[in-house]
Amino acid sequence: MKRDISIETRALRRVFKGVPGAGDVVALDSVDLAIEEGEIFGLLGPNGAGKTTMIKILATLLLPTSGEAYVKGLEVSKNASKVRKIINLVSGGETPGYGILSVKENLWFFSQLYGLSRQGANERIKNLVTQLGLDNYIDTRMSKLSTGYKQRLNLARGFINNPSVVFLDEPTLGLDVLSAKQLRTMIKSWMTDGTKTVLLTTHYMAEADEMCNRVGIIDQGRILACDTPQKLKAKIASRPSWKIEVTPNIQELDTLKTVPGVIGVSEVSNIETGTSTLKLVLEDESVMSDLLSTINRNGSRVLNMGKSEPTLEDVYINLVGKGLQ
Amino acid sequence: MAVADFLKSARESFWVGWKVESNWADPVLFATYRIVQPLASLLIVAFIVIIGASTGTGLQRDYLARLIVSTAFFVYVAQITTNMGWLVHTDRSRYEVLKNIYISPGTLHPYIIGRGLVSVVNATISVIVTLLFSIAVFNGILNLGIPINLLSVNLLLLVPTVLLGVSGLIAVGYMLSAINIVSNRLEFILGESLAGIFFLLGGVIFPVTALPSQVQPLSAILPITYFLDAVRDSFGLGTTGSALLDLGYLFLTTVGIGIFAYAVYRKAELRAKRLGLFDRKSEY
Ligand SMILES: Nc1ncnc2c1ncn2[C@@H]1O[C@H](COP(=O)(O)OP(=O)(O)O)[C@@H](O)[C@H]1O
Ligand SMILES: [Mg+2]
Repeated sequence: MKRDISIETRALRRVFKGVPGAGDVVALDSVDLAIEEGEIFGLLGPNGAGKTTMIKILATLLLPTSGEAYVKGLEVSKNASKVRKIINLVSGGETPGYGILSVKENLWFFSQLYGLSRQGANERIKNLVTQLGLDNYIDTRMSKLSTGYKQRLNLARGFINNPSVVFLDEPTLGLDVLSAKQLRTMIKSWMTDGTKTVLLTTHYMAEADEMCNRVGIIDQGRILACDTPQKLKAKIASRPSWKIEVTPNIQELDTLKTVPGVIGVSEVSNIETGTSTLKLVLEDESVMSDLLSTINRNGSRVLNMGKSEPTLEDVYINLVGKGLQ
Repeated sequence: MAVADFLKSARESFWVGWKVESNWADPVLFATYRIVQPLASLLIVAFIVIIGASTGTGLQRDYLARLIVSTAFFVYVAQITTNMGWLVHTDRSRYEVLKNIYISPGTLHPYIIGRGLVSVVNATISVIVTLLFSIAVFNGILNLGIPINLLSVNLLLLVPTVLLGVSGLIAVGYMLSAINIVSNRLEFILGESLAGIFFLLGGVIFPVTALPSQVQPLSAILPITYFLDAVRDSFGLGTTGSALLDLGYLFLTTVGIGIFAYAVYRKAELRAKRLGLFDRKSEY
């Protein structure tokens, strides 16, 4: 069954004036996206890729330089006031709210900006507070909450108007493991009736993999690939992806990249053990011998190696040629 | 946006502002703030009394009466402009709520008005305190016999005057909010400086006709000038001749500044959407 499109962009472009002397920044470059009703769509990309810019345009905070953006068929820059009734936005790492007010008072304030009835607002606040594990803090001043709980409050606020479309800009940024998990559970349970849509940005691979029906990989303002996590991974499954553990942990990734047949490399180094785990995407296995000799020439020893199940990270390395850090 | 929804948002913004701005957490600070203004007004009047005495011009009781009333009601101007001049800055940088308020159905309009009304209520308390305080000191303690009779105030004139006056001041607050959305670092000086300029141009200490002729046109388009004129009229201390005319001018200039403020706001809003400023963090 073909579902309705909830969010759509057509040749969306946004250029920012650079600092004097430097050139302009192309934050979004001709982005075409179509997100269906009922989807959790993930925009995955490194810092500066253009994720926040995309969300700000869709949330009526920013005008595009050219192109169009639609929410539920409404062009956002022309129908901002209609769009605002059906959307909300949560920016991770921000803790909007008045410290002197309690959790409940903060949520109440926002509920009234959306014109909720007294009863409707109280019910929603109660539900959200329960779902996000804030029950015991409902009358606590926001200033007394830990950062994790402030962020939970921020999330509750983002759902206060029961929006049909929610934009979550790196919602788990800086969140502790438990809060992040609770957040994911909450979003999923909120999605169950099939009429809601989430556009989520993240630079955590695992999060995109776990949460999203589809993922768009974005880098330097361009969508490089867009599909379900499974299909994205399947596309590269024919290309072996390797994990190689080496010591010492200093690798010159650039020299590894010049080895013919190496598509991409990323590295996670462990300072304590003095080792590095390299992730490599290779054209085929014949590249391996060249690669190992290059590693030797760099003065490193291979401790461990093996083929790995493709992950979204491999997809990313495949497309961008480097890891997502 | 439906009127009912607008009022709901404005009312809630008012309560939030009431709690946040009134600083109940620190009653000493709150009381100090409410009393500083009356004291300042008192000092101005006392200073002029002393000058009068030392230059041998003697006590000009009518003038002092006008001065006490003018400085007291000028508290509206000072507090509303100053407080509203800070609104966007604190709520964008410190509380990080501005963009979330902006993307709600009413955008910033009900919120700015609701928050402006907090200043109106707070200022009203200060105005009354200032007035009573001044009368108590100059007539009660010092027994100067200044002709202010609170019982004979023309409320039929004073009430619409204050309503129009604070509307014009909220419009000024709108303008300041708009400027703060798009500009950087002006919030530190804008509100206070404007209040200072209004003090000079509004005819608080000396009549507008005593101003240099180059700046008189500025006074003539400011609702604050007519606001203070009409307030003095209500106390039977008018000097302009016709109270109704003052009220009429107050109405016209208030509408004028309202339209102007709205235009400034729309321009700032567009610029903020072009540059992405609703969530800008300050650089200091
Ligand atoms: N308001 C702005 N003014 C100038 N440049 C900006 C502005 N907002 C974002 N940029 C630039 O646009 C690019 C994309 O930024 P952003 O959308 O925030 O990326 P992401 O959210 O993926 O980290 C970056 O190079 C950033 O510096
Ligand atoms: Mg971002």
